[in-house]
Amino acid sequence: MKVTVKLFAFFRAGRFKVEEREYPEPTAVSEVIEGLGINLDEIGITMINSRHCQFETLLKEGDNLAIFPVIGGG
Amino acid sequence: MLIDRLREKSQDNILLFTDALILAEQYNVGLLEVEQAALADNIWPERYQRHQDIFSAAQQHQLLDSTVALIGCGGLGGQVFEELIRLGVGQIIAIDPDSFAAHNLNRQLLCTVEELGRFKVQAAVRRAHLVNPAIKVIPLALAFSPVIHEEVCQAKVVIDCLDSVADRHQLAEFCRTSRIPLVHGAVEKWFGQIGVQKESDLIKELYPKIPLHDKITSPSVLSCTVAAVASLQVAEAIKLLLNLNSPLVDNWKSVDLLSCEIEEIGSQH
Repeated sequence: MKVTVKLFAFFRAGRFKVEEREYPEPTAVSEVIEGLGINLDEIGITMINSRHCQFETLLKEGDNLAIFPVIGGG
Repeated sequence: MLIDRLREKSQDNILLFTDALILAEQYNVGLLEVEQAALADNIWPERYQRHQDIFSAAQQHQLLDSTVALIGCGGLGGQVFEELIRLGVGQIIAIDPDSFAAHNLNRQLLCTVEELGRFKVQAAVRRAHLVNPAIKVIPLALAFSPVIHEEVCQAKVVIDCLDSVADRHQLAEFCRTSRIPLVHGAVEKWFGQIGVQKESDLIKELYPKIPLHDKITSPSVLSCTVAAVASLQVAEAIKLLLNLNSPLVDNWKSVDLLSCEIEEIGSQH
């Protein structure tokens, strides 16, 4: 299935900003994140089609997955 | 009467800064009171002259009457403080338990070589005295906690310039139960985020869990990132103080200075 993955902030460094990627079914959000070499502890929010989702949420064909890091500095 | 002297002194509805100082001394009142009396009579204190085409005199007066609580006086907090005092927000409750260290010099506006080792909130008091002595600053060199909740209740708007998710959760819960709008900002490297919590549980949505290294690791941050995100926070604070609408209420945006993007994330409400 095709999923559009959008990365934010420093997750873009050395990766990409937005990319349409191919994944087997079923694929969970956590598998996409770990497949990109991102530690789950670094994640702030994940959204599918502009709605909050969980690490265990399974993706569907055509989904837009947005991945944000925790940004906590002040 | 002060009002008669204000009318005499003002030219083209502008009260010169030096005249405002003289009147405050002559009438034994604070500079803030002189400026408020002037604005109530549609006379603009010179220092706010360049706000004339943006705010009405009543709105500028409203800002002078306002109290804002600033939680954290480091990077974001120092920049937010500077902008609030120049805007003429009359009373600022400044809360931060820390003192300045040399590694703050790269991005924290209130941190100067002279201020190293001193409390950040005391530097804020000195800065206000230099830039806008009419502003009343209430410095609290304490961490935000239930002990000081009562002080913060005076504020019409609370601005989150903290650096810990656990503290943000506590502050957000306090603001939600006290029904005080909270302007959130956070920064790291070239990136940041900005949002306003009013009716929602925005902070818990942004930080569903407390990170393992909360309060332990300190992220790298650029001065330009701090200034950009802090300025967006101040813009939201002004709108809340003046009851102006904003699309950022109960919503948030991601700020990326490397890609020059401020992205709408999509309202959840």
